[in-house]
Amino acid sequence: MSTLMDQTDLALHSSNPHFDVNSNQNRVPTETEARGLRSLRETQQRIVNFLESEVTKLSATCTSISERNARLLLEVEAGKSELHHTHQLLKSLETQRTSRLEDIARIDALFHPVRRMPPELLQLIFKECAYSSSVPFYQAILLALVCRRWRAVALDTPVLWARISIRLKPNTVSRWTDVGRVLGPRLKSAPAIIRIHLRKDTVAADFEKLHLRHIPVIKELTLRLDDDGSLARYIPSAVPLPQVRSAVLELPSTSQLQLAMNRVHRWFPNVEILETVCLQEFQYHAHTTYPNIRQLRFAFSDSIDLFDISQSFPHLKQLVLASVQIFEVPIALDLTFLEHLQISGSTTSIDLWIDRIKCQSLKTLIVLQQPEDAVLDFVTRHRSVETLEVDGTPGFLTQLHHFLPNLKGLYLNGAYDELFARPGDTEPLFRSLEVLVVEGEDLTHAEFESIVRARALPRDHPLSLLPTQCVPLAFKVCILPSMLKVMLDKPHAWPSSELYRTSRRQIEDIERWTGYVEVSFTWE
Amino acid sequence: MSITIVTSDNEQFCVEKLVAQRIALIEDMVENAGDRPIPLPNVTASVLRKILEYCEHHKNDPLPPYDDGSRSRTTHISEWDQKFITVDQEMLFEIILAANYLEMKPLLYVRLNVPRVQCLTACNAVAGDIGCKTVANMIKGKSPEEIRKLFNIVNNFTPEEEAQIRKEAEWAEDR
Repeated sequence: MSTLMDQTDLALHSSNPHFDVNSNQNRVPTETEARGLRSLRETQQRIVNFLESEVTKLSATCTSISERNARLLLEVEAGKSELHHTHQLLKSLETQRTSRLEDIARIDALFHPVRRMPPELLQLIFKECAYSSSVPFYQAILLALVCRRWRAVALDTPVLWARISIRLKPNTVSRWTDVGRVLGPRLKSAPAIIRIHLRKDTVAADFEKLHLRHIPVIKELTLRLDDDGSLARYIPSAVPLPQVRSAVLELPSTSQLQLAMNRVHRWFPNVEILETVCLQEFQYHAHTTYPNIRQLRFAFSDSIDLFDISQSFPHLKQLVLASVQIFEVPIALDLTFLEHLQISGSTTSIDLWIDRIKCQSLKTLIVLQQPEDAVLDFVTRHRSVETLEVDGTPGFLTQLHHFLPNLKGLYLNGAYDELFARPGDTEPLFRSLEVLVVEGEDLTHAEFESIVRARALPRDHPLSLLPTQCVPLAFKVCILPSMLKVMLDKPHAWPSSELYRTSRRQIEDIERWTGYVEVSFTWE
Repeated sequence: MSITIVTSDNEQFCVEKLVAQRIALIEDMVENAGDRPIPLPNVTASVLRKILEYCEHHKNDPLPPYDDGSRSRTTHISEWDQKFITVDQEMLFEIILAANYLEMKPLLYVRLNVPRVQCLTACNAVAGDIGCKTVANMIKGKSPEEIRKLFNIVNNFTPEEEAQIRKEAEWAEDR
């Protein structure tokens, strides 16, 4: 086609250079020019014919394409619609699938063995959680928020709620409102141990809002104060808490607080144990007696007047004075019922007491940071003592069994090397003792053997029967100020289960008679 | 001497008597059963297999001390016991349930020395049981929602109840 058109163009412009068809000349073409022009016309006509046929064909093609496109457009539209529909269907199926999976999960949950756990097993688990938590109360709350069943079990486990810790601040006081009313029924008769941190900006009305009177038994109530102001500011006198057995007041070290026993008695009329830390002055009156008070413990206090203590606290069994400035000691102080006396710290001297105090029932004596001669003097006047705790290894130690015929337990704070330096001297003491405790370090194998030999322990005694390779690993005596920890591991190393049981009971006896010492056991 | 135990899914286990004696329930039943197989309708074969694995390992241990219920102290979980109890969650609970049914206190919990209430926090060193302690360890440090997810538990509190207990949740926030 292009060749034909090119030829035509050539004919027009070059076959007859003297006649230009486009020049609008009025003259008649010459014969020669006429021939050329005719030939050119024919050529043009052929081209027109050809183009017409091509136009016809392409028109048909266009029509066909257009029709096809129209069809395709229709198909696309249909496809779009189908896609949209399919998407909707997919979405619906996915929703159904999720719903069915949730159904399956719900069905699986129905078969989960946790649902078959009887309440007593859940309680065991909950107690485990609480015991190993630093604040059991918070763990109990979380367990009670899981589901209705767990809540019912948690609410029916009083011990979970027995240790309550409250920080009373103005911005949080509303959340603690009625805490006593809520926890009272949960605790049933379980003794609660409550610790309340009273901030400077809290007031008596905040304390009242706790409604602690609804808690049946408060074994110990600790009030920690940030302020050294009057306690009455925090505790409304109109709200006595007769169920408090033990009250602990922790004050700031700069405390200027003067505490009157009458006020304590008004708040806690049945309190048996009163403990204060950093008290400036403790006031009581000779003509008033507090027969419920069994234990008085003062630490880091500036002024404790003991003048009328025997009259005011006739049933006092335990008196602890740790770094306390004694204001006055009477010439004769008869503490008939006193069983436990602790004097420690540089500001309290046992010298003051030696000739004046009479404790006919004294069983436990703890004298720390005191002159050795004074301690010996005091000890020789109290032959009823069964448990003695002293610093280091005083010179009179080997003679103790003469001074204290009832001595069963000896607790040594600090170095004890001399105790084993001359086994001949200490053997009689070891023989008379039931418990020997040394602070800080475990006994070495040789020291342990020395005790066993000295005591001439019977063949079936748990100490002598311990396999030597377990000593001192199997039997450790670790001493904390108020805790004797006995660790017995490798139970399979014991010759018989009966012996194991017997030994356990014997060790438990230690706890029973030592009284103030808590013995804990670890079986691994 | 051995005895035959039949599980709930009818599988029979021939067990050495010394091993079976670790299971208090079976020890009681042996005397009355004579030579007859002892049925355990509440324990499947897969769970009993695990229980017997425990009994076999501990067959020479002294029997647990007398439990007067007044004391409860926990012991550390030994390395073997720790490995033994490292099972999937479902099996863990099945073992606890079976131990409860079979009266296997050492596997369930060992009550040695009840901590005085005031010493609750000081009792970390002495642990309780294998099963219950393991579950307790799974729970500790988790929020109620995380506990629900962990054990497939449905939150079935009504919105009213939720609102009521929300205040308690605030107590837990005030640490």
